[in-house]
Amino acid sequence: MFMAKTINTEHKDLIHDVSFDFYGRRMATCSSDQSVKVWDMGDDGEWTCTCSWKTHCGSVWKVTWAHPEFGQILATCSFDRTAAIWEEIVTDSGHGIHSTWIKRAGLVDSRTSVTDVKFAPKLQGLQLATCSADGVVRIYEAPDVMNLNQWSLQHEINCKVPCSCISWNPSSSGLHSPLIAVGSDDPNQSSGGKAFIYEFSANTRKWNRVETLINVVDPVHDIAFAPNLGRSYHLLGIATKDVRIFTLKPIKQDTSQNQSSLSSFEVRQAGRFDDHCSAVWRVCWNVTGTILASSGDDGCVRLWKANYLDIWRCISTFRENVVNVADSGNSSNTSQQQGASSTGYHTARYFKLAPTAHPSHVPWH
Amino acid sequence: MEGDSKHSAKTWSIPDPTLASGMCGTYSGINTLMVFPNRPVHHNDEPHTSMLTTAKLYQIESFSWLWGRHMRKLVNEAVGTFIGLQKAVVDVETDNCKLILVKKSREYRSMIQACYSEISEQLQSMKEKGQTSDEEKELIECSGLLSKMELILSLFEIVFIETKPGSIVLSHLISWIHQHFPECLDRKREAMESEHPHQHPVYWEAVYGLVLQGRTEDVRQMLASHPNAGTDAFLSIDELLRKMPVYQVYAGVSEPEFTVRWYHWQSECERRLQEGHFTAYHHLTILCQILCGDQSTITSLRDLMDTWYHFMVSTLLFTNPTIKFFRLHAAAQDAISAMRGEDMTTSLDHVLLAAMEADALQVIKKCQHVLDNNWFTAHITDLLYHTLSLRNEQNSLAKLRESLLLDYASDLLGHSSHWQVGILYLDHCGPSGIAMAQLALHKITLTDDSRARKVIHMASDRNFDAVVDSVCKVMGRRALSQNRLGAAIWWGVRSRDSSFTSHVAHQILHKYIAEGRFESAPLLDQLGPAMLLSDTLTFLGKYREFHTMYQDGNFKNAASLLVSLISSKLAPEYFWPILLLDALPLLNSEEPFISSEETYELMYCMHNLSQSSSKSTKQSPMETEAAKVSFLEKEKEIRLSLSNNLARALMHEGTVED
Amino acid sequence: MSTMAGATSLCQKYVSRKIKTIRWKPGLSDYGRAETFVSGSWDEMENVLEVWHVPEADDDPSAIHEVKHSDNVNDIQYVTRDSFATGGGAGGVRLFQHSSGGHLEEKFSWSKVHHFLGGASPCTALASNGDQIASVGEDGRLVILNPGHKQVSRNIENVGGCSLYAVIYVRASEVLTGNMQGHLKLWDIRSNQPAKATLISPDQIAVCTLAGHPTQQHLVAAGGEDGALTLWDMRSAYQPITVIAAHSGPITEVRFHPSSPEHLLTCGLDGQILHWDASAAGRPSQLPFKNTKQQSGPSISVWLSSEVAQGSIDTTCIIPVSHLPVNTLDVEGSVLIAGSDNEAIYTIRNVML
Repeated sequence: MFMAKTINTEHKDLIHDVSFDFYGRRMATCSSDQSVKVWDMGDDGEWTCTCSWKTHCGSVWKVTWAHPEFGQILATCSFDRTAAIWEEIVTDSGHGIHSTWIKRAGLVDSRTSVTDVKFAPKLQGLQLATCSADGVVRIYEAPDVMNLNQWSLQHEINCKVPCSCISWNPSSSGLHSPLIAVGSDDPNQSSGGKAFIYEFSANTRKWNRVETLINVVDPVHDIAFAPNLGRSYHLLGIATKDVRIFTLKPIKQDTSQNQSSLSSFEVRQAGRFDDHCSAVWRVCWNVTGTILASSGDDGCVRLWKANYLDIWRCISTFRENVVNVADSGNSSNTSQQQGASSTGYHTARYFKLAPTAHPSHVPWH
Repeated sequence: MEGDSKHSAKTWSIPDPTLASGMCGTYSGINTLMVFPNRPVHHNDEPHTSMLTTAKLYQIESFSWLWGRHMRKLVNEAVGTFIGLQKAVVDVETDNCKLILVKKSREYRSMIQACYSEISEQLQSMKEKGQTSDEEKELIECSGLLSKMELILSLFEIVFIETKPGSIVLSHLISWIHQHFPECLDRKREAMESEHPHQHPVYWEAVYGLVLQGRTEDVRQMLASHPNAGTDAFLSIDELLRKMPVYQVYAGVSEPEFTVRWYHWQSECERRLQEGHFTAYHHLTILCQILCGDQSTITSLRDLMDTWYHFMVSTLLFTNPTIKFFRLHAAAQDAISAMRGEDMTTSLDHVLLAAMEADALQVIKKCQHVLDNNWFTAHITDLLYHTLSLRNEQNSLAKLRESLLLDYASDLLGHSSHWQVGILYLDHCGPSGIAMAQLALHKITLTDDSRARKVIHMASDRNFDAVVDSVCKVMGRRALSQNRLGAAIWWGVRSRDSSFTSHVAHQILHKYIAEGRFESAPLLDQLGPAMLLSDTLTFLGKYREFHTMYQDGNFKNAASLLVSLISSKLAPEYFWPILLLDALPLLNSEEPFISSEETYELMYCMHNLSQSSSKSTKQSPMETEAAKVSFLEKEKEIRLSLSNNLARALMHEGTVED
Repeated sequence: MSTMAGATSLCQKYVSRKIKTIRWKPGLSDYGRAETFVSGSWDEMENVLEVWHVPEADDDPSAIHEVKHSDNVNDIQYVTRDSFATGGGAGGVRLFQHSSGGHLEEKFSWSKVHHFLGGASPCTALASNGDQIASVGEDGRLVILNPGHKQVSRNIENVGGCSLYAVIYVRASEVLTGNMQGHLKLWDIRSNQPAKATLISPDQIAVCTLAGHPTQQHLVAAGGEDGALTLWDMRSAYQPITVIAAHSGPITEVRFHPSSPEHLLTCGLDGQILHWDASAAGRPSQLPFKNTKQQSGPSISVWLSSEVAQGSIDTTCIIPVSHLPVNTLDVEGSVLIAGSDNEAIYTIRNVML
């Protein structure tokens, strides 16, 4: 059963991204109105907007949080070809707590719209990766984590095709070399695979492409590594013409050989789902890496989960309610039940989502 | 497996037209999804929309009956039994294993029953107040769910834990029916309490019901109250009832012997029936027909039995009491067709049928379809897993058990209060469990010190050092942003992070320069070995030591310490002016506390400082500026004192003691 | 009426909320049976204060009334027989009263008593001398409140911002606080400087809880973050009189038994409730010799005796191991109540045996 609660954002234009901090209690939203809003969840579960400010000179595509060990830090990227890093300053003005976000650094190396920005896992220090429509992935680092004004461009990776999304491998152990997955939305079908894996070699101090997913030939709109929970392989979700789930199992290298050899992976496609019947625009993993949420052009959000035999399937679908005149008398369809749940777990601001039987729901086999 | 996914994949609707043109979902936690209206963009142009209404976000959370106020107790009660079971199976001997498993299964059942009775009480009091509401509907639903779970679990206990595959199962099934269908006893009581029981409308129904459950003593009691109890027919039936053989596992009667006796007894029933003992009493005829196992009679009374499993057990009682477990399935199918036919079976029926086929996997799967959380399935799978393991039987359940427990634990972790219980389960889920526990402990929101302390306690119990360090770092960062430097140092030391502690130590030094006193002096005095975490912290600790020595009047040692601090370069550069100013009174004192060697050191330091200050272009914080200014004022004085002290020291050292 | 000499009985009632604080309501007279207690929850979307009644027989307590409390109930302290103050997770202190029907009413509230830059700070502990309420919080402040007056009476700040975790009244105008660095500070609330300060251990172990001896006001028990129970004589408070390695995790609450103070009860994050019985150490010897002065038992506290310091104390573990922390306990007469994170309230009768 699902319960939902609404939050009014007051953004005046399209929202492009919603991102949560490490604990899920702070939220940042960014929009075509060039601003970012930061929201805090109170003890009662309600979201209040604590700050709203103009960040760029163009639509803000993505916003992302750094690990709280580094403080309260956000990064944004925008159509205006820049990415920016912001830090929160809290002051007590006598009238109450005032939170402002100060721009610590602007990353202006890109010549085209910057399409994605992501912080690296905290074990790698304070590092950031951006990718642009000109096909270059840039990796920045703040050598002194206490001084956010200094960021240096450490690496540039030229993917040669326009990039739309990146994802760091969140593996929390120090056993794997850092990995980045990059997706390209190049519309040219014949240019080969559109998703790449890059690995950082500590010996040569360079990023190298170690894998190209050749059976992903359609433009990739989103890519995400799943949080790794004791698995011996990496799990990657890709949003492209359909929903793809890949497993990448590192192949054990013979250590007597050249130590600087790169990892190689056994890539297996664990799932390919065209339930959306259209392009898929976003994929997002939950915190434990067990459920993947995909959002598609059919206006639905679907949740995918693997059972104990590692077979993936759709467990829930969310869609906007379509009220048919003919069905208005049908009790199983449209009514949303308002009101407090007796159980006291949720307040009256939650309402239950009504299950529907989608008329064109095609049964599997 | 492909087929069943269809049942559980439901579609949910969100009523909002702004989402019609597209929506997007991002996860904020384990089970919380944030959905917002979104249209795909091409990154090379900027899409805009004029929104008449501003965009809304939808925070969607999964919700289960298990989080209800009453049902919630099951969460905490079950974890105690679960952990007890994990511990018990580790060091158990084979003889006792069944006892332990049965005991644990009964514990689960009793907690379900306790919850059920509590909800019934609640419903009772609500009825008395005469309110019908959503809450009442939910409670009714919950109590239905609980009674079904208990029914399934008790059958599960019989089929999988108590009974060996090749053994006779009926006695357990009879007691199972006794527990779950007490209506006949109610009817008996109703009838017997009336003035003329035999004339009460439900009298004979009660009798039949009791017989069908094999409650011969109760039947005899009821018949004894009949005015015609003394007649031959009644005495005859009474004798038959009294002599009905009942199979008990430990009664000392072997199975073949029992079979002989039972056939003998049933033939006696048939003989008496045929001889017309009961022709005068229609009801007694029916009674005897039941005893003879007459199928049509039993079927005609099926309304009294209400469900196919009751029907099945009653039929078996009088037709095949020595039925082996593996033949149960066929009997079940017969019973189902006799009762209603295939079309009317509910999901509960499917589960029970699967149990009677000893198909544990089906039982668990079908339960999963009906229940929206894994409380029940995870615990029974765990129970079954241990049963099979202890019997050294082939165990394919390991993966399923782990998967269900992980699912259940992540549901618990997604709930705002049950995170601690979730971690307790993850201790027993293998390596994925441990990884998830670490991740979960990292992600617990640290709202205040006591919560942080609980997270740290759970993490250190499990040797998750990384979690402890991370929590301390985050708390330290927060204290720093709140300007609580003492607390920041305390957490920083705990987190064993040198760069952070250095940073805070620097802040403390800056503050000292600005305000002239130390905030958390006692803390710094007692750092102990933690001082070595970072150079700046060591300096801070030693500097405090200097202060203490000075205050105690221990000038000689204080002086040596001061000089060593300067010469060892332990002090940060911006602090040197302060140190030199501190040296001033020692330099000016009559007794030379600072030796000539030490004075040279100070002079060297002085020299370096004036050089760097004359060419300093770096921007420095206000405090050091102020310090520099006061230093420059005193520079002359310091130089003078240094030379005076040098002279005095040389003289003192050069003097030979008389 | 003499009670039956029954064995110790344990009732465990699951209440669907994690219990942070539990307190006996002071009886109508000092000798009556303790009947009513109040519990406060934490970590919920909607926290509650509940009033319970304990029956004479070995049954579970039954709930009488509950009121919502918007933040975590971190501490409850009775001010008078009928009214108590609660310290909340959002830094506010509230005063409640038991009305005649057994219900609770909120009488007064002070909000934002504790705060730091960036928001509200939780109030961690309360103490009362019957007239005023002393409140301490994570912001390191010691605040004295007068019921009925909105204005804070005294506001003493702990430099460095180190959280304070425990507070008790030692005398009518003297207060002892314990902080996260392990300092015990004795304050005369009329002045701004602590009269005395001491460190419970050299390793910066936080003081989590304090308890005052009911009759000997200078005697204090402190529960530390490392699970050590230390006993102090505040008259010469540089070294503890006794150090007992009690629990394997931080101690959450310590209590002297109000009428038999040779008994100490502690509970902690390790899920145990322990009963420390030092009465054996205080018994006078059986054969007094002529001309020797016999030590009279009650006037000299057993806790000061050297036997106790050397460890001759009986310890009993009262409840079977709980896997989750026991947060709070209170004892009155022969009944002990405790609340824990496994959403259970324990009622233990005849605990003194």
